[in-house]
Amino acid sequence: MAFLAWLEASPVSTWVNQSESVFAYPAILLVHTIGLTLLVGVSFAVNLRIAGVAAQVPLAALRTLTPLMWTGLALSAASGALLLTAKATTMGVNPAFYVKMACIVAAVALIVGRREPNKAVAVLSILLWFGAITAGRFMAYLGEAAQFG
Amino acid sequence: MTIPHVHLLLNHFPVLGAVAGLGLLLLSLVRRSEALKRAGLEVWFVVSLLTFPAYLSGNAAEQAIAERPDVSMAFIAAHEDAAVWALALMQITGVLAWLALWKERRATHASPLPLAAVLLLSVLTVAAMARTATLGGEIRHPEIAAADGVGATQASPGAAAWVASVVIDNPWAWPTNETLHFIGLTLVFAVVLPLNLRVLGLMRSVPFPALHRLLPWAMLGFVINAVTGMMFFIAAAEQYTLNPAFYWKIACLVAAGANILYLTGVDDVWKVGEGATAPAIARAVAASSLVLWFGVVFWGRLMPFLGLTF
Repeated sequence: MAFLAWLEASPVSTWVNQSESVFAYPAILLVHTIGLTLLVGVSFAVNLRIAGVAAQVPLAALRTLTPLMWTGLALSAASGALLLTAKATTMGVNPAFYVKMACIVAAVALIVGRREPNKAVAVLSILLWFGAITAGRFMAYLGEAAQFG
Repeated sequence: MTIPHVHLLLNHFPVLGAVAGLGLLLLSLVRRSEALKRAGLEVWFVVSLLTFPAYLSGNAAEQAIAERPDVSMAFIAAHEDAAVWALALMQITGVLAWLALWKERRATHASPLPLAAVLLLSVLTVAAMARTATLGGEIRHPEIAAADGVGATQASPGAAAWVASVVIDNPWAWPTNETLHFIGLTLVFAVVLPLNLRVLGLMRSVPFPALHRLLPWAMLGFVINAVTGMMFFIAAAEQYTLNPAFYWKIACLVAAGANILYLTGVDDVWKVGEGATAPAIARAVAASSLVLWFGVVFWGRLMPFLGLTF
């Protein structure tokens, strides 16, 4: 808890929290959302293909979009870290935050550790992203963080 | 040009467009013309897109005249309730029209079922739009309002009030809708990214028609977001009516939707085979499509910060 408080009192957190600039909190949130569209969008497309949608599309071709997916992950992780430090004392104790992190770690692990394309794994991957989105959205409504845009 | 002005301008499109769309489809049956049928379906799709801004500009128009002594709120409420039904029917027709266009891209043997469904919904939509327009006209034209006017029929809360109460009275409705709105967003991008990037020249080994089965997933995402988005708007219109970011988002959305129609309906794109480069116009549409979809995310995400806070 002391660590979370120290984190939230850091100059970066103070700037994210208190700056009136549209480049502070709003822009970071925007980057977080654009990262989501790239990361989950591409992952979703690959998993739909593995699950059997648009079977004529070569999987290898779809996987050429992977760099876009990692770009999305980098954007979301960096912006997410800033958002987290800004709200460390509320989010660090929010169960939805840990559910979200668990879903993301599992979903990324499925991408990194992929072997043969497997329908069940593809569906699980999609469900994990849904879980991450759901938990992420409910972070704003659980605990004492109701003003979290 | 103000938003109430936009409402008065756009509100003619759903009425006249619906009549034109229905007329083209009927004519296509009489003349047995595939080209007319496609034109009719395309008109329905475009008109259903334009119906969003026509509806969404209505609350600003209401605010502009609500204070006037000669304006009856009962007339406005009746118009709004009729508009909710007309919007719903129009969007169902639009989605079905798109599905019929989409199916033609795949089917060697066209099934008549989508067209029959579009025709049925078309008739209902024309009726609902005509009713909405009549009630809307009566707001500022007492000379055409019947003596036993609509005010009397407003004893029970209508469609708009019902949707608002579902969202507001249920504490989990808003977060659940937001979650679904984000899931719909990722679905749209799961299709829009590979589709447009292929047209732009990435994944060149993929023939464009191979992406055919991916398209309805974007439509599913769009439908989820249209339903949840409309629930936000109907429940808390005051958060949006004065927010420029909201209107920019809707403008981007309508234009991006028109791009989807181009990519579904234009033969040039569907002829792009393995290793082939798409025509320049298609590439321009794909590039603008990506810009517009990110524009939707941009204006949507910044909505709470650029306008009124919520």
